[in-house]
Amino acid sequence: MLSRSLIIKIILLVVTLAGIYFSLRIELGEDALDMLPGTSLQGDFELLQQLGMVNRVFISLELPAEADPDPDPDSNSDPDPALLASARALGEDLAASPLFDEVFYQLPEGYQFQLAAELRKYLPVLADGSDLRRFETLIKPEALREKLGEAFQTLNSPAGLAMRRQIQGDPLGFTTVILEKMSTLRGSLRLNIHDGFFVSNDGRHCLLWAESAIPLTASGNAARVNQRLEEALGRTLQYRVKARIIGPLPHTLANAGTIRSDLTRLLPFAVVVLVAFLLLFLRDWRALFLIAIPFLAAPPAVALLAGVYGRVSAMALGFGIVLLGIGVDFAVHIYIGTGSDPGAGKIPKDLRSSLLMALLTTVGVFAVLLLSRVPAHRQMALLGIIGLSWAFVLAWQLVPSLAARGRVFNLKELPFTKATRWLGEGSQRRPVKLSIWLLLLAAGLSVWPSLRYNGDLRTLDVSDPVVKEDERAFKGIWGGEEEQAFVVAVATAQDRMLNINDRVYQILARQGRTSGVQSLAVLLPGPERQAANLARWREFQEAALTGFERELQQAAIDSGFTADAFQPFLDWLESEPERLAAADFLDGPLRPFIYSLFRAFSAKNGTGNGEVSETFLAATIVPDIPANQALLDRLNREIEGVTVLSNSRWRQKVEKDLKSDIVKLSTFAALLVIMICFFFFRRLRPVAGVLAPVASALAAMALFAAFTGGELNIMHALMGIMVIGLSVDYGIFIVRSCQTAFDHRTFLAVSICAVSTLSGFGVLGFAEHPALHALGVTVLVGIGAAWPTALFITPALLATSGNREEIP
Amino acid sequence: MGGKVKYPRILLAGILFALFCLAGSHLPFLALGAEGDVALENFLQKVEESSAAIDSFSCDFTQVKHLAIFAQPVEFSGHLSLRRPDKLRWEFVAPLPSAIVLNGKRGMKCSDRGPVRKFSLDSDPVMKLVATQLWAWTSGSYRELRDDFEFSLLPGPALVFSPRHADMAAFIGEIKVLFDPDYLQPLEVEISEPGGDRTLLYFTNYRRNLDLKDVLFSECRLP
Repeated sequence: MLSRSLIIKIILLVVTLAGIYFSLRIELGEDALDMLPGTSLQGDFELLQQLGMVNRVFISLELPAEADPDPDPDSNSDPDPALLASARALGEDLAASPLFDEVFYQLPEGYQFQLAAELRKYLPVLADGSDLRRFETLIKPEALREKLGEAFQTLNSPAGLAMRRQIQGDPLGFTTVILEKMSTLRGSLRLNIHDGFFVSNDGRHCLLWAESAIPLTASGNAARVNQRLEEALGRTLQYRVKARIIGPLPHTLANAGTIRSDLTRLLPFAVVVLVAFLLLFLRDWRALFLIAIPFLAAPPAVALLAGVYGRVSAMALGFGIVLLGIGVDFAVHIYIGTGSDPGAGKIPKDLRSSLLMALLTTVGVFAVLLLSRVPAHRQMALLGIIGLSWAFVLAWQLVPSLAARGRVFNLKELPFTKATRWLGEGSQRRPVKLSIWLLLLAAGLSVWPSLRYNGDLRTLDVSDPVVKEDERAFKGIWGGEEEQAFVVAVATAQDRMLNINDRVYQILARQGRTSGVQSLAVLLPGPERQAANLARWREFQEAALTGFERELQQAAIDSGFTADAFQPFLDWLESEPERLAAADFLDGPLRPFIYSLFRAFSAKNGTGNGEVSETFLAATIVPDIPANQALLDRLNREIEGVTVLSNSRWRQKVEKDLKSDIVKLSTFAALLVIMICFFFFRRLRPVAGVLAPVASALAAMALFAAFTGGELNIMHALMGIMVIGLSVDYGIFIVRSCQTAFDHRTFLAVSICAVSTLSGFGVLGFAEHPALHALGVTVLVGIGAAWPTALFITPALLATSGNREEIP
Repeated sequence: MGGKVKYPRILLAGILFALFCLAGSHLPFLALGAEGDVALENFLQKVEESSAAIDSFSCDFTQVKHLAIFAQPVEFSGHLSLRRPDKLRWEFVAPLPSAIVLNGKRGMKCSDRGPVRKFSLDSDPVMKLVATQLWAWTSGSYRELRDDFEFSLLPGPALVFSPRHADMAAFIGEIKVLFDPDYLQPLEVEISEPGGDRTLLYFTNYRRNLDLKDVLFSECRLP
């Protein structure tokens, strides 16, 4: 017969192995959406993804001048053939790769003629009221004769050969009027078109842009795309031609690279410190097994998390596993507590209740995090709850037998026993200790109102000097110094979406805010505006063109032409105008500009009957400057189907949502912890003793934040919750120790837990990555304050000197 | 029966005979073509050598346009100034003054009707076509145009250019250049368009290796 203990161990082994097996098969998602609170912000980000903004890679090629290292960017000069040849070769190379959906590097040959023909075809639906007024001026007899005179001269020049058909079809230059408005497709981009290439004013730079076929917010994808890009650049760039890559790609790579470098540099150090510390204090190699507890607890927790959510957020997994490190605390307490009673090999009763309480408070804090509106936080919380509970079970079942085989702690041998005895005695220098502590709390409270929550997730973006310099140079060359707002029109029907997009542009135009605006509305008016334009065109035909045929024929004769020289123009004026759809231009020469602002998606609508629903999007890009803020707010508020995406609005929204989320969660967590403490201790003093380390941690974190710029970010908030969970545990163990039997082993256990946390997490305070750094310093400062508070202030608050306070 | 007639064999023999005759009938043409190529190459070589000896020149020209949309043929006259390798000024004097200046890949045009307009040959397809034509008529570096045109040599001596690409063939049927037998510079150019329209250019009064002023190619001012 198998013993009960053996059966339990077999079950633990099977669960752990099953956890490892299933956790290796989880689907990992590196979606930035997981880090955003609420559905509206996620919807915003999704819109940016659907518009291709997130996966867009801009490549600015540069051929530095040998003689003039500091060229004038506005001096017009011809691009070097090597630059254009490099752009063509690179564009062709990338276009051949399945990693890129669209690569734009050169407009097709003869695009101007094709564009002119297309614009002429759809002119009646493209021309608005102001255009028609210009046409009316052009058909007046004097202007008509002047235009025909110019046409006569042009036809007699060498250009006449190429211009004859165009002049016959449009002698008055109606198409040119429409063509002039196409500059809105370029927005604030400063580019010229040379031989179809996108070239800077100084002729030394050439722009290409491509869209990755795989999401660039995932570091693995970014690395693949970057490798393909680097290979293509190596193969195609001619001598001296250099490339700058702009967009989310370099940011993803810089962040992933910095995190990798930080962890490679700091983790071995943290492990060495932790191992050395355990060996120094516990003086038994078996103690190293304690570190394994969180590692053994993680796989079943990850597998279960995947079972619940399907796809596990990489962010949640990364930070969640870090949080599982807390699990080592249970093992340390059991190891030290049980080690004092080797004969039994069982966890002492007092320690059991302390452990259960500690588990309850920690799980309680994580349970509160389950209410977060940020998907990654919810996953992190569930991972923490499952992982810590399993770590607790593992420690409970495995560590006592390990401790029984280990060394017996002789109180006298324990390091710092004298010191901890002196300091831990609650009555010793109590006024001094409490005064210092109260001073800390008062200082923390005094700076708290001055702290500002910064919800801008870019503060957690690594500041890579190369990326920054590339972005600065890019803006200097191509424009776009101002931030941009995206006014996105969305509808399930293309016609409706185009109507909405029109309304956006019309409001901007009426307010005189079209400077720097990039919009499709001029080229792709919606059906409502097409109908309105067409109605005006018909009026123009009837009113203004009556008698025009005779006038034109006479003017033609007077200008040296035959009477029917411009019959193609007259035929076109009388022809039935054609309506315009997006597809008419999408495959035309302006595709690079149109595709960057317009998208159509098809997806099964989820009804199960195989029906496909379509979504259409068009973006209008508006400078995100203070002068436009009120107008952007108005567009967002007044036009149904419009969403305004802008960094400034987004920052405010993220900040507001995250702040309210964190305030709500922190309040719940605090209330829950206080309730649990009251449930167990039922008296104010022990509860105050338990919460004293939490208060110290919060005060210290507030002071540190105030001294380092006065800003809190999402990492401070998240790790703050973890620090609260740990600090409460320190308080619980010390209070219980003081109440039951003043046991210095508890002080040692708390100290080992604190040092392991400080070495494991605190070392990240030396990380270069802002997110890891924030994580590390929060733990360093919070635990750094909570630990001594638990050791010295909690006993002082209990005013105990080894005397016991029984739990009621 | 004297034996079966093997139709397939007869057919095969017939096809082979036909192919032989056909091949044989083309042999003289092939030979002629080869001779023509050599003559053409020799001529182009001579033109280039002759042109190389002329750094710059100017001449007068008369242009006669026969367009279906003109009530009658229209005659313009003017001056041409050229400095190798890449500067050219095409200036109409009468009846309507105007000029086109080419300087490398950039250029400008002006008339008495409006301001000077600058252009780049890379971004203005019309002026690119204009530049191609002007250099085709005047430069002497015809071999550089082989990507765009096919050449044939006619007695005169004269060169006929036919566009290779559809985009250019939409505007130009062929260009015929008649040369001065001594200096191998164009005397007459005839441009035929696909619809039947024609442009004739007559070049006279050549002045060679002149010290042409820079301002001719850097400004578009009309006298």
